Amino acid sequence: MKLKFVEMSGFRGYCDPVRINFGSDATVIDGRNGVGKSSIFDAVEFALTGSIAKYQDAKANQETVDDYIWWLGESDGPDERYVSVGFTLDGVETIVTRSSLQPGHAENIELVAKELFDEKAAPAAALQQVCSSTIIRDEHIAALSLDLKETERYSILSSAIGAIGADEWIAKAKEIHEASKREVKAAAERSEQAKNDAAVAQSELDSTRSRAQSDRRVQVALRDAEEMMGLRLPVDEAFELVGSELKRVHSQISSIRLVLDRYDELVDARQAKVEAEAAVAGFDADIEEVRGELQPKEATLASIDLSASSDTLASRLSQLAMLGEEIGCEDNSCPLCKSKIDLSRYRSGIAALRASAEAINAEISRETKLRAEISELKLKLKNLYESKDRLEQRLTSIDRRITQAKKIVEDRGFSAETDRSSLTAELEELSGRNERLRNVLPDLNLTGLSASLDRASNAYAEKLSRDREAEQVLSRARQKEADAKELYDSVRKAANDALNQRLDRILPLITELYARLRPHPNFQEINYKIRGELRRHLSFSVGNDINPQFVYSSGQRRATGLAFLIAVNLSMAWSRWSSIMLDDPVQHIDDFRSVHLSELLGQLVSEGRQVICAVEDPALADLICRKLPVLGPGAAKRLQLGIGENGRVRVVEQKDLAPMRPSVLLNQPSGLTG
Amino acid sequence: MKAKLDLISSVLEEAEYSCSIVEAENGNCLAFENRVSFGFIHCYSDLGDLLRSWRAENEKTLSMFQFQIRSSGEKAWNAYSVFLAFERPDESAVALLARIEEDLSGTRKIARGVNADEDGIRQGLLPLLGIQNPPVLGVVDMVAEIRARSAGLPTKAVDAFLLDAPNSEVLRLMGRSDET
Repeated sequence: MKLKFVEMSGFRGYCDPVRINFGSDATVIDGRNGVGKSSIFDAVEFALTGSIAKYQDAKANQETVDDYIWWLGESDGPDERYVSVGFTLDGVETIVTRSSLQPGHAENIELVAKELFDEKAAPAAALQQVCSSTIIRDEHIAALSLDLKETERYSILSSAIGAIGADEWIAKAKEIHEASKREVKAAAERSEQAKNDAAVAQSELDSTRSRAQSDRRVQVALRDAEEMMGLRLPVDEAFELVGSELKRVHSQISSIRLVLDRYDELVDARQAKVEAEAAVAGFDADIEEVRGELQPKEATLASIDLSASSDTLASRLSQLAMLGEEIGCEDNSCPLCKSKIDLSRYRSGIAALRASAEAINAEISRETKLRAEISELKLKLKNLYESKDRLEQRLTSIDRRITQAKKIVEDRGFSAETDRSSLTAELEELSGRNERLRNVLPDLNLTGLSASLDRASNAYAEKLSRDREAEQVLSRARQKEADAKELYDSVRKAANDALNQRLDRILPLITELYARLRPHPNFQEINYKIRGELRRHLSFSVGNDINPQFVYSSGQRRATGLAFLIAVNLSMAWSRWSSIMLDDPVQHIDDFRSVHLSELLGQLVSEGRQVICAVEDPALADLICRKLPVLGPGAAKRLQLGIGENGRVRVVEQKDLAPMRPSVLLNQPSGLTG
Repeated sequence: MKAKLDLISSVLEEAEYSCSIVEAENGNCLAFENRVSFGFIHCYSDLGDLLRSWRAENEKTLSMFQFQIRSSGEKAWNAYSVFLAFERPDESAVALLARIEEDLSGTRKIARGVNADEDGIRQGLLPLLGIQNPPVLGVVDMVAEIRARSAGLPTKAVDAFLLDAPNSEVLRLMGRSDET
């Protein structure tokens, strides 16, 4: 985008309407002091921004530059006071107009602004920024370049580079970091409060305990309990802790007693087993003995030969003998069989008969007696067997008891054979401990104080828990704050790194422009350095690390400053405004450096820049004009400002520059080859 | 020297100058011209040679082309005499070369001691060439730049931040490790 014209009416020193037409490539304006050269530049800036930056800080008698924008001459000036600036882009003209009626509003400004710079890449206050970088003023060349503070110099250059999309991220990261700091502060306050509350609760608990401990009986009991248990006991917990210990001891005693009972049972069972085994052996002997008696009797009984009618026979023989004796022998004849028999024989016959009957009866008696004896022995034998069976069953039962008792003992980790004495000793020790604990326990039962102790203890536990929660919340908040700070630093570092990468690509241009303008005869190169992590400094040095600010003359400083400002203008990646406007850039600069500046301006035009340069010296204006590449009519103009007959500023001369002869050397064959 | 003149010629032609070798005894001179300026480049192997010979050779060349220069009109203001020695100057040589350059009589003079490579030649001919270091600035991918520098932070928090989630949401996701 280029400037086509500026028209001023009643603006600054321009009373009558004056229109300055610019060449599409270059315009060189000359005029003596006070003829309104600077007002042309002021008009462009005012049209775009509504202000003139060079007077921004100037104040006198409560007045500012706003009071001097419009014509203040003796006459009333024109009816319409305005500034119009024409821009062209691809042959399309857009005019921005700002008038005294609405100085806060410029017609078409949004339209032009959209074309002047890339909104996405532009910094804040882009219109002001683009003006300050495009309009290089006499007042700023020294003040805004070499004599700047290093941080300001860095700032100017970095803003010229344009936004890198970091500002919003930085602002967001900063907000998050601030929020995290607030969160930490709130969490720290809560934690502090929780700590104080816990301390108060602990103090309350201590004083309650102290009251409890001041009881002499409690003190004695507590000391005994601590001695027995080998640890410090809080007075309010002692009753519970001793009670638990008592339960534990009691349980151990029960366990040991159970084992000892099993030991007794084992001894008894083993004794009973020995006795039972001896009894079984006794029964075996008795059985043998009875069986020894029984066998001959049964043999004898088997040898007795008695028929089933022996009893009857003996009875009849006996009756017959009795009858024979009663009847007696009659007539030497047997009364029973009538046979002849003498008395003696008869009598011996009757005796024999009686003897037979008696023999039979005796045998019957012996058999009966034997049977009775055998029956008795068999009964005895049966009883013996039954008793032996019972004993053997008892033995089995004793074995089972022994096994069970052994298992119980071994299950509790003891040996069924060897540990009784140590267990007995332990039982004695535990019983003693049990007794002592039982004795101290009642004195530790602080029922009188337990309610307040419980309350104090519960309150302390609750406050302690809250303190820990608050500490966790604080710890987390601190971690968040650390993360938020790291994010904030990361974003700023990303922005700085991105900016520095871009600066690194621009600084060689400053070096080149310095080399082109040759401010100093000895120091033909300038070095730059960026320092600082967050507050960045851009420093220049020449020669052996010499600061040009302190060794250069004002003219040399201006030339260096001019190189810097032109570099800034060329570096505005976000600007589409191709113009570069120089307001009297050569004050204090000698002829030699003016030539360099003219060469540079010519090169800028060749690069497609529109150069508009105002100087005081017409000869210098001529020099600049001669260095400009002129492509055709209207491309480059030369203007002279002066005072008209009516005493007002006007364009006294205006001409288009003509192109130079395209070829003066190379058409001539003589002296050249190839 | 022919090779160096060819190199100078290629640098100037790239900058849209026309060039021709000047027929001279020592064959160290090149003529150049574009629509604004023209001139002659004299080359020397060392600075001593340049400081001894520049004036005589310059006068000789200008007299050889005096007719063309006189007939060039306004363009004569932009006649250049360039003296290049292929040797880096010390401090005293710099001052002597500066003195040659500050002599504005007749033609605009450029006197430099440079390296005998393309960069050195560009440095020597800088006033005749276009801007050598135009800044070419692309768009910065700030999201990628931020992500690359916040690798140690909880990924979800960084994602939320870069998605422009509400600050409270970003903060909620901070202070955690990625494992939990």
